[in-house]
Amino acid sequence: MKSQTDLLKQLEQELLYLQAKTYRAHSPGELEGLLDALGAPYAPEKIAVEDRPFLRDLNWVRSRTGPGVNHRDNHWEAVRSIALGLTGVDYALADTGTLILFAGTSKGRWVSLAPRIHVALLPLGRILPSMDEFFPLLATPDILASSGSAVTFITGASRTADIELNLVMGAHGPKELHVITLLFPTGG
Amino acid sequence: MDALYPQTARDLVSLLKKLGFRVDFPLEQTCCGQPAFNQGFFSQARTLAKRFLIIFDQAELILCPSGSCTAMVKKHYLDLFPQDPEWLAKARKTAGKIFEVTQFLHQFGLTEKIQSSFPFRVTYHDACHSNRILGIFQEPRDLLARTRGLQLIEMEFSDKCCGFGGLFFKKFPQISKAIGMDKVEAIKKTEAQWVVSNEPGCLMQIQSRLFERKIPIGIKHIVEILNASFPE
Amino acid sequence: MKIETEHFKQKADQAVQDAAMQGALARATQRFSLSRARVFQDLPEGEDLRTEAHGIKAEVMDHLEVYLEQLKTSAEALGVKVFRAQDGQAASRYIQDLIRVKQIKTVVKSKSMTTEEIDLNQDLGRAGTEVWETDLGEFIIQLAEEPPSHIIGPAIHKSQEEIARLFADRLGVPVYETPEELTMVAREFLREKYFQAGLGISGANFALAQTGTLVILENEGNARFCTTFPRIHVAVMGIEKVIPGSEELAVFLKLLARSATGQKSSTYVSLIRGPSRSAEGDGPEEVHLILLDNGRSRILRDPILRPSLYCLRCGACLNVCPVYQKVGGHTYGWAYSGPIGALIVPQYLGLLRARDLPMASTLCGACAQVCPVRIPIPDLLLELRRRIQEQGAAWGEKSIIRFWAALQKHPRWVQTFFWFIKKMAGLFPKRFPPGLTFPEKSFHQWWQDEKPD
Repeated sequence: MKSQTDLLKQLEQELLYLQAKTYRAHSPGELEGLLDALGAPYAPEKIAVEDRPFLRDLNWVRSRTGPGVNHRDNHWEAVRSIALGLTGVDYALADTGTLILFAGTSKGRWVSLAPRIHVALLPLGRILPSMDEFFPLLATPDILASSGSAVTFITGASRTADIELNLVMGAHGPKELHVITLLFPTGG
Repeated sequence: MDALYPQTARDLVSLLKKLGFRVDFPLEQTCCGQPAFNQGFFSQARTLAKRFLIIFDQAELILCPSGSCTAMVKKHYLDLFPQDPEWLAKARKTAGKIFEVTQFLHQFGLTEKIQSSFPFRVTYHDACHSNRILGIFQEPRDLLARTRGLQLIEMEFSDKCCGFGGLFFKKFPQISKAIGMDKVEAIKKTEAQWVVSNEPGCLMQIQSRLFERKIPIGIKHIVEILNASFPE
Repeated sequence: MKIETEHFKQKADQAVQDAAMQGALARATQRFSLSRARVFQDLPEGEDLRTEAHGIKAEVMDHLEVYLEQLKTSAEALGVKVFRAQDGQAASRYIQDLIRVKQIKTVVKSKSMTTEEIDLNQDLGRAGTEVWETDLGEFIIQLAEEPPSHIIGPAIHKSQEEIARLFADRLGVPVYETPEELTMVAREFLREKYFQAGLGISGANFALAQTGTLVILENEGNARFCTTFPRIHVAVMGIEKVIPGSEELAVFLKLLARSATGQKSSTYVSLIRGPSRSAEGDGPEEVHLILLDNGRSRILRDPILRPSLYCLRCGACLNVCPVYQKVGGHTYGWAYSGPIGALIVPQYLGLLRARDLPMASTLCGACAQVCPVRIPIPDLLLELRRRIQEQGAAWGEKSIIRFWAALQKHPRWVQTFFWFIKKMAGLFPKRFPPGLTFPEKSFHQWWQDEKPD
């Protein structure tokens, strides 16, 4: 049985191969510092955050992000201006470097999809060795209920090689993926 | 092989005798039926298959210097008699005693007995049926390694199809040629003096394409090499 | 799409002369097949997984109706509307009715081979709906008004310059010089369409019977857009794609991306469980699943050819096929190309109409070696050939084979025939393969003369 530390190492290695950037935050202060650095180029209206409780409670989110986007009235146009999406992660798979996000907990699939930059905060204890451990978990009633209408596996940033096989990042989805593993307890 | 490369068959007889075998060649034999089968004419293939099974019924062991013919008898004969348990049984029996030459030499522990000499640079083409149906890959290489003076240079994608494909090369000559040209490019890159295989059809295709490109590389069936300068 | 399977040979001969396309095809297929080989080396249980995958598909096909019923029940329980479409017309009509009732003007589509199969875009276009392909390769060929040339990379036959000029012509942008700029053009253009579209149409790689989940794999994110932003999502899926549940899904997820592009996983895998739920911030209000038959039941009933339905549409067979590498996807004349195309196109369109496709194979077996579900493609092609000769053998070909088979029953006539061929080769060398010489004696003759036993 691999420990979370070993699984984290494996996850970070896979994410490296995928050209994603990985960071570790050992304290809330360190996290704020990392978010400051990543969010520095963007005005608050250009940053969107998933509607997860532990994200909403972060100081940085309260002070540095916009009022949110109202989707239900077809105000997708507001999405146009969002440059950075900050999300949590429900589970991660170490063997492939995959992040799993639930529509039921993220309450906004578009946050990990539309912005150019995707910053994902991975809480403690969420890394599983592979999908073989994930699927039985997903079938348990509580987790199934919390997953909502979509479970999305994200393995790296968006990419295409449709033009002469040249690899281009950011085809429709995010161009950059940053994963910050939280090595301190959060509500997430 | 009968008409175009009889030397290979003669070399095989000579080689087997040097290895201490008694060789028989039933003169009534003609074709195993593969060309008809590959084109979808199963009933004609069946007729020839039955003929083959009768002719070779009493043979102890059947050796074949063609991977595709061997595969035809070993594998596809079993597909030809779905409604006919008697013939199916005959086919199974024969399938058990037919061998492609390099597989035979390997399976019967005869590789070490090879004492041929062929001091040239050689590259080996892995024919499709031999490789993918019969699983032949290491056997010819071990045999060539026993040949004194021979230098084996592997080509890129040695197991890629040469484009012969039986009647494919007659029906779709342009595609066949184009595929063959890739094979010849790979051969040329090795700077070998000879290209070797265990499949007469492939050798014919490769010979033609080499000739067209005016590349001075010769073809040899592996049996010719294994018999080369092998003392009596 | 115009069906051109009868022109295979002409198109093939032309394609083989097209140096630019040859280069593009060679690069693409080599890259994909080498990546696949490498990633499978790293997956030690890879070969066993292929066998397992084959077994799962076989079992599903044995009880397809049961699984489809189960899928319908569980999908409906999630709020998905399930429609069984007998053929393309039925599927198209269902979607057109939806468009009319909901007054949809713009549709965005993610990659779906089934919708290519049934010419859906054409139907919708004719009815006046604006339809946009969103997968970059599909978007490119949509603008170029061409069919796809490869299952995974539909536009790999197009050079960057061609694409740049195409975008400039059709979208009114400058002629860009880098793939990044061109991708940005598509990204910006299509993003507007996601915002405008009232309907998103997707395919589905799998549907889980036990839970009613739809599974979509992709690398770009366009399918996620199509299945999240528009109010209505319609998934069109072949009936053969249903699998029991997530245990089986895991097997296929481990195989599919590896077989297609050599990636451990495709960038995005979406497990869709019905329409958006109340606390969620986005997602479609309605999800429809169209289960398309279009001839699949007929193949299902065929005990020998049934494995044709196992196909995951990964494209691994295309990448290793020596024939496909030379002639490219358009030569096959319909939605599916390469070895799998040669196998299924005649079964969908008619054996005699597409007779050249199964014939144009050297039966080298490279496809069967890489197929993640172990479809024995060469053996099935042989069966198709058998049926073609049974139903409609060309008179000339049949006569020649009959003559040849009769000849083979008489060894002495065979020797005479060889002598005749030798004479012909001397008189008409151009009609024979170049560089060959017929020796004096055949082996038969030598054996008879020398009597070495």
